[in-house]
This record gives sequence, C-alpha cells and structure tokens, in this order.
Amino acid sequence: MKKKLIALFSAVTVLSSTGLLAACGDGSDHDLTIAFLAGGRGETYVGALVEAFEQTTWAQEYLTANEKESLDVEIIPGGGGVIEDSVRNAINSDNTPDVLFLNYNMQNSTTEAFVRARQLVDLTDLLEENVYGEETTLGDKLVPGLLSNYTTQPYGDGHTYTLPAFYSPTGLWYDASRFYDDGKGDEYTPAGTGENAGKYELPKTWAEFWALGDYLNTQNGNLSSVTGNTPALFTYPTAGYFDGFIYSAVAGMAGTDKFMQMLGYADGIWEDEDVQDALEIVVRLKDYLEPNTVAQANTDGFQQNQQAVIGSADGTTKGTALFVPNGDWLPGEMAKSTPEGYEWGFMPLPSKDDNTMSYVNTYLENVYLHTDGSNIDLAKQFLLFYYSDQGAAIVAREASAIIPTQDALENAKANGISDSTIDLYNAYDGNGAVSGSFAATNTVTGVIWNDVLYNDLNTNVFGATTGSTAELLAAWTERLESASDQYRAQIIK
Amino acid sequence: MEEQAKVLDTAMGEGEMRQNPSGKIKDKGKLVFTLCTVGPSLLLFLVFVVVPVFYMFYTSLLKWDSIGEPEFQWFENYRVLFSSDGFKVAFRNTLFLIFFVTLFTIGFALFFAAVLSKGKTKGKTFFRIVFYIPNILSIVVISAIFTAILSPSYGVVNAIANLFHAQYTGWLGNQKTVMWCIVAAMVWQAVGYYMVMYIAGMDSVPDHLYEAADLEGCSRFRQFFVITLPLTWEVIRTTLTFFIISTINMSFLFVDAMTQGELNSHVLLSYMYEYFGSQYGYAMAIGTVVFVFAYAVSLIVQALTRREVVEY
Amino acid sequence: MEKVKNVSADKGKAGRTVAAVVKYVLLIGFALLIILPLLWVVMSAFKTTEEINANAFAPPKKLYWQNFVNAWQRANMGDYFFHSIFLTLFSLALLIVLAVPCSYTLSRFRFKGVKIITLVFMAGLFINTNYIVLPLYLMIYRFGRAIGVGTGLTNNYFTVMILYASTSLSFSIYLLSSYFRGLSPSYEEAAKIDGCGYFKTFLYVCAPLAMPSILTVILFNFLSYWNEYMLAQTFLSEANSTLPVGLLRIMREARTANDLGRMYAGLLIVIIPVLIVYSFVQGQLTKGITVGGIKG
Repeated sequence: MKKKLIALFSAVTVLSSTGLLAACGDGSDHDLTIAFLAGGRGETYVGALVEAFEQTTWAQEYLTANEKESLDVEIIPGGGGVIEDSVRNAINSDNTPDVLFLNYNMQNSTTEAFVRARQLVDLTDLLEENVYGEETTLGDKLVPGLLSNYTTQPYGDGHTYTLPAFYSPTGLWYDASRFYDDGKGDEYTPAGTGENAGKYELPKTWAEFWALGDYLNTQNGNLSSVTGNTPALFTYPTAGYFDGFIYSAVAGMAGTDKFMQMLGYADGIWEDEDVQDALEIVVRLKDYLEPNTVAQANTDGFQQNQQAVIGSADGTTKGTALFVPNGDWLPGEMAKSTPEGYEWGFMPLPSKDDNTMSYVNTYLENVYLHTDGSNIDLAKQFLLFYYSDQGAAIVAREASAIIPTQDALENAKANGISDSTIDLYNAYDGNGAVSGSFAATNTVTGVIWNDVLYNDLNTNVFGATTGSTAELLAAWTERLESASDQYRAQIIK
Repeated sequence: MEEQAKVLDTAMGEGEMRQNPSGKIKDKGKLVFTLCTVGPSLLLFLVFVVVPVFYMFYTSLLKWDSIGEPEFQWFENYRVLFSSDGFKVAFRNTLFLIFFVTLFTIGFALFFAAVLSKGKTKGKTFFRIVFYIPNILSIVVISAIFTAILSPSYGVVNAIANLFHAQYTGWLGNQKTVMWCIVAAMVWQAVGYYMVMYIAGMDSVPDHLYEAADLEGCSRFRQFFVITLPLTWEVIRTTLTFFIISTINMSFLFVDAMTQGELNSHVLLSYMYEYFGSQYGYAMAIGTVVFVFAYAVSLIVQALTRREVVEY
Repeated sequence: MEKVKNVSADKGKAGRTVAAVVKYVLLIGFALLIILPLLWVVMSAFKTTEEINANAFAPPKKLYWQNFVNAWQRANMGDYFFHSIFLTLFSLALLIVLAVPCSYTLSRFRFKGVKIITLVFMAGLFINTNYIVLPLYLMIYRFGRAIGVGTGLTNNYFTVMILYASTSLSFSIYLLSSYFRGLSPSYEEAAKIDGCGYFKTFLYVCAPLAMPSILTVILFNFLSYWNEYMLAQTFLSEANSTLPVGLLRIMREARTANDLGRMYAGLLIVIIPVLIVYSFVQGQLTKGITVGGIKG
C-alpha cells in the first residue's frame, strides 16, 4: 500500500519535472529586449520599428561583428495593468529589458523605483550623437524645452536619464458643434444668439468659464436634473486625469517659477496665494459637476464619463457635460461609441485673464534604458534610430503618435496622421507649455503622492458629503503640505 | 487562548481509539503510517502557511520598496500606520461590514433555515437550491453583476428610477451609500451558504420537542426562540467565527472589484493592497494588523456568545 | 369559556395566515433577488451594446451571438478555461491525497504531539491567503532566484497547486476529522482481525467509508479553487492566468472598449459551467455540513 502512495506522489513529481506543469522563465540571450506600454498607442509600433532597425547599417554591422544572421529581439508588450508585472517578471528571470517605453505615475511606480535604485542609463552623452542617417545630433533634433525637467532629469543634476518618446497636449475636450468662438474683446455671453442660437460661447478665461457654468446651473435649477439639452459644465474620467489639469492651472495662475518650485516640493508652496487660486479652481468644479461623474470615476466607469461629453452613441441625444480633461488618445478611445459626424473640440485650460497666456500641459511618455540590459550600445543605437525621420514616420504610421522631434509634425502629416490630430498641436501656438513630474524621491511610508495630489480628489473633494469649498480647499492644502514636507526630505540628491 | 483551544478541541474531539495511553508510538508500522500520513501535510502546511505568516511579521519591520534592498527599522511602519487617516477609514469600514453583513446574513439565514427545515413550506427544495446559487459564483462575477445593476448609465436601478422620473446618480458614487452596496452584495452572496449550515443543524433537533411545544400551545414564533435557537446555538457560534473571518477576507475582493476603494470605501485588506506593489514593509504591517485583529475578534465573539450547551 | 377559546383560536388562525404571507413574501422576494439579476445578465449577453445602453429592460431584438465570439476570442477565454480546469483538478487531487490520510491519523490515533499538531492545523483557519500571498511570493521567488531558475518557480502551475492544497488543508482536515472521529472503532478491529496493516485498513476500510465527507470536501474546494483570485493573480503571468483573473481584466477591457455586450457574454461564459456542475451536485452541497460540537 505504501508503494501505491509513493507511486502516486512520485507521479505528481514526475509530471512537474517533465515541464508539463512548469511555465518557465528564460535566461536572456536576446540581442535586445524591449518592453513597452501597449495602451492608446497600439501594439504594433515597436515591432515595426525593430523590423526597420534591423535593416540599418548599424544593425548590419552588429550582426556581422557577432556572426549572426538576424537580430533576436524580444518584445514585451502589456496594457496599463499588466506591463509593470511583465517587466518585473522579466527582470526576475534575468531578462531585464534594455529599452523600456514606460511612464511615471503608473500603478506600481516602476519607473520611479528604477530612478531610486539608479538603474537608468545616463543618456546625456547620447544627446551629442547624430540620429540615424542624419547630420543632426539628438539634442538638436528634439523639440526644445522638453529636457530640463524632472521627467527627463530625475535627479535635477543636468544629466538626462529618460527621453520623451511621444508628446501630446492635454486639455479640455468638448463637442465642437455646441460652441462658437466670437474672437476676443466682446463681453462674454454664455448662450449664443442669432446665427449662434443654441450654441455656447467658448470660454477663454476662468471668469468666462465660471460664467458659463453659472448660466448652465441656473438653467438646470438643480444639478441632478441635467439632460442633453441642459448639460452640466464639467466631468472627468477619473480623478487621475487631474494631473495635467493641476499642472496647467498652477502654471497659468502662479507662473512657471512657482510651478517648478512645486515640482521640487518647495516648502509652503501649496499655501502660496497664487497656487491656492489654482487649487481653488479644482475644488470649485465640484459645484458644476455632471452628477454621475463621481460614481463612475473608476476603472469600470470612466468611459461612461467620457461618453457624457459625446451623448448617446446613435447621436439622438447630446452629452450631459460640456468639458472633460483628457489627452489626444480620447477620440480614438471613444471611437466605437461616437456617432458619425461628431466633431471633437480641444482647448487648453482657460487663462487667468485676457492678458495672461494659458499653459498647455504636455503629456510626455518616456523611453529609457536599463543599466542591467544585456546590450546597452545596441539599445542606444536603437534610440538614435527612433528619433530619426525614419523612426518618426513609423511611429506616426503605426502608433498615430508624434515623436517630439523638430519636424515630426510635418513628417506625421505625410504619414497619415489626421489633420484634426495635427490641429491639437496648434494649442501650443501663443500659449506656454509645461510638463510635470515631481522630483525623484525615496518612498514615504504610508503616503502615495499621486493619491494626495489628485487620485483622492474623487473621495475627498468631489465625493465629499460635507464641507464648503473653502473648507475642502483648506483640508486639501493641509494634506498637500504635510505630504510635501515628507517627500522633500526624501528627494534623491 | 483557553477559549480558543476549547473550541478547537470540541471541533476536533478525541479519537475513539485509545490504543496507546502512554502516548509513545511503540509499533513500528504505526510509526511509519503516522509519518507517511501526517508528515507531508504538516510539512507543506508549515512551509507554505505558517512560515509565511512569520515572514510577514518580519517584513513588517522593514522599509522595503519593490525594487531595492530592504532596511530594518523596527516599528516605524506601525507608527505611521496607526496615525494614518487611510488606515482609520479602512478599519472603520471593516468594522461596519463585520457588524452589518453578519447581522443581515445570519438573520436572513436563520429565518430561511427555520422555515425551510421543519414545518410545512411549499417548494422547500427549490428555495434551497436557488438561495445557494450566489455562493457558487465567483466574487468577481458577483461584483460585476452588482456594478452593472448599480451603474447610473446603463444599470437596472437607473432604469427603474427613470420609470418614476427620479434622478439616480449611482449609489456606488455616494459616500453615504457606497458601503451599503458592499453590504448588499456580501449578504446576497452569503445567505444561502449559512442557511444550509443552519438547516443541517436544525434538522438534527428532535421532532418530539416541537410536538410537545405544539401541545402546550406554544406558537411557531416562540418555538424558534425557546427550542430551535438554543439547540442550534453551538452551530451558530461556530459559523459566526468563520463568518467574521471570511467577511474580513472577502470584503477585499468585493471592494477591489466594485469601487477600488474610491469614496472612502477601503477595507483593511484593500488598503493593504494599495501598497502591495510599492511598499512591501508597510503592506505587511497592515497584513499583520489584520491577522491579529481577525484573531482577536473571533476570540471576543467566542467569549461573548458563550452559553451553556443545551443537551437534549 | 367556549367563546373565549374560539376567539383565541381565530386570532391564532389569522396570525398564522399573516405569518404565512410574510414567510412566502420573504422567500419569493429573496428568490427573485437572486434569479432576476442572473436572468438580466443572460438577456443582456444577447443584446448589442447600443441596445443595452438604450433600454436596460428591453429583450434583445434578435440573439446577438457575436458577443460570445468576441468574448471567447478576443480575451483568451478558451485558454483561461483550460488553465482553470487543469489547476482545479490537480489541486483537488493533491489536497485529497494529503488531507484524507492526515485527518484520519490525527483523529483516530493517540500519540505524543497529536494535540499540538491538530492545534497548528486549526490555527490555520485564521490565516487567509490574502495576506500571506506577498510573503509567499517573495519567499518562493527568492528561493527560485537562489537556485537559478528566475521566475520558474513563481510562474508555475505546480507551485500554485501546492499553494492551493496547502492553504485549504486546515478547513479540509477540520471537516474530515469530524467524520473520522465519529467512526466506530469496530471497523478497524475487524480489519485487524482480517490481517490488514495500517495502510490497508485506511485505504480499503476507512477511506471508502468517509466517501461522502470526502465528496463534500471536494465540492467546497472545487468552488474555492475555481473562483480563486489572489494567488493566481500574483503568481501566474498573463498568458498563464485563470478564469477569474482573466475575467476581471476582460470586464475592464470590455468596459474600456465600450463593449458591454461582450462583458455580459464573458460573465455568462464563466457562470454557466459552474451552474451545470451545481445542478448535478446541488443535493450534496445544500445538504450542508454539520459544524461545531453539536450532536448530529
């Protein structure tokens, strides 16, 4: 009987050792491993880039030198909830990706963790090298003004560790058919008359924005009775989308100097009068909010909030909210439930007043190299190829995205990017640009900065059941100051 | 501790074969048999259940980001934890769920068990089968169903509200109602399971007691309190302990799938999960607190519900 | 006297009618609360997303099977399905091989340490995978790294099976012991007279007797393995994941893609096999188990 038992045990053991049960990781002998966030940018662009890269003289030289027939590149794709685990698994199985298209502020703060552990390759020297097939250095090729921030220089020491892989403006989206623009100078009238009857005037300043909101609130009598005919002013997908909103608002209300101080967790910055004005804008939105917003501001419902700006998918009723903050991926993301003929409108946040410019928050997606990658030189060459006109064309074609290089916009136009996408970049005309990511720090036990700054707004401000605007603002400021103090102490020098 | 040991003792009982009062195994065959049968289970249990618990205790004393080396720092994580607002909210919500989910689940389960065990009720089998269904569904499925029903855009509640021209903006989006939604989903899921447990207990109450009570003119309602409840008290007591522990554990998945902790709806384990990917030490300090808390609550419940066991 | 008695009888009768009405209202009400949402899911699974958005109650204009095709194909449901079956069956087998002999010995043998071992197992009732999953992952991953297999140990079905079995030992031993405890010693005495050793006695006499309890253990654990989320989510990579893990992701994707029909179809694909299994074994499940120290 014992034998039978033992036989049974060993059968299970054999089963496992034959590999039938094992889903093993592999030790790396790839030429390159590339991990990328396969979200709004689609899943094909990295594959296409690799294919083209293999044909470059650099790759050919590499193959000859290593006596290889073709490049062996492992590509690790993954959506927002998955890619960080995939990257961790790859690192755990000694297959650390050489090139990573990953952002800050993701769920597990993977990029921040690399920064803390000083595992990013210093790319400062790479900026002096020519991009593939051209006589322009990478540094000159990039759109100016994108490199001196905490995103690309996480230690604030002038050394560049991450590069902007894509850039796009974020701002407010709306249904273009509901608005008219009567230029500047006139007194603002929320509801259009004459040929503009039934439309709203596009607000340029915050004063105008609130005037429109008050007008709508009066129409509704009660915010919970909004309809397609009497919409609410504002909705947001999830509170996480307030990142760019807050950056633009702070830059717009307090100027770029204070904006930079904010990113460095400067002491008392949140109590600064001008910064308070910016925060107050956020808190004040509570009074103008589409009523379903709070309930749907989560992973499961954010799309319904975005739908609130579009209206019904068959176009029979208009949206119940006028504005939603978002990035350039929004039209694509909502395409399936957008009625034919719907026209998206996009504008930067309103300005402080007629004499001040708006600041467009630029959403930067990053690419960087990991110090444990197996083939850093080849990875650097891949980056130089990525920023060439050839690379930009592939990205425009496959990812419908714009690489932040000098003539990428022209290049993109030639490669099938729609005019409406190109128009988005006009938002930079006459406006300032900011891009936000805070100074790199060690973790602060029990505090998650992004939660304090925006993720918890849904709970603490918009979903709060008690408290006036002033009280909510004061409480938020206090949380920000306290967290800011703790983070400042942890900045990695 | 003593009380706990006693419960476990009753649960496990004493074997009826008392072959070796001395306690030493003299028979070699028996020794081999004992080692072969208990050994593997005990080994796996120790390695994969007991050791991780101690590893959790240890980790809770570290400052440890997901990437990078851990540093020992004694009780710093606990100090931060006990002064954290997020923890207080999660703790309050957990207590809220323990109280209300237990109250409603056990209340409904006892009622349904009483009417479906003894007495004449039509369709007994049907109701038993139907009431048990939620228990076999994955929590992910249940949460999805509830989220869909409660959606202010395409849900059933919204459709009903529209019929009456009432405005519905989502109970999951209101701090006053969000926890009640979780309670509803959890009760919906658990009633059938506990009902079945109680039916088993009530079926074993001898019929002659009820017959005697009938003769005395005692109403069904009273019979439940003077006969059924006292005689099934030990079952209720045991399930209560199980139930509270499983409420602590299962609330995590419900919250994660239904609200992701929005609007102050975190419970202890979902609050822990927030820090899972980035702050191992802090997450494990929360885990340790949950473990100790679950244990303490079950001891308290055991002590509070202690009654003389009624023999019949 | 006669009169008084009649009044009270009438009163009792009226009271009983009211009680019966309340009873049936509650029973039927709760049954509807369970059945209607499920029917609603079934109905929605056959509607297009536009129909779902338009009217939550309207039945589908025509059966829109494409939802199921979308759910099944786009989301690897087929793979996840197979993974779940495979994991569940092998974990169950492992659990039974471990738990049945162990609870037999623990409940019927007296030897030094039996009490403490029993107590250790029972303490496990308070330990839940939700909070030991991270230490487990770290331990196993670090061990795997130390022996040079990387994630070979963590992203591994065999590991997950062992973990499933180990973490459900407490509950299973608890159930099985209460059965073995009540078994009359005469079976073993008879087996001994027939010349059976301990192994034979256990395998041919006692284990078969415990079949109903073993079945109960299998059923309860079948459900918990089939629905398990945390371990599968933490240990297995996306390609290897199980149905509940896949389901949560699929549902988020479906909502993100604004494809509600696909979401409901996905739900149904997960619910149906469980309901089929349930229809076969509902008798066993709803008969219940006796817990606690009560006679019965």
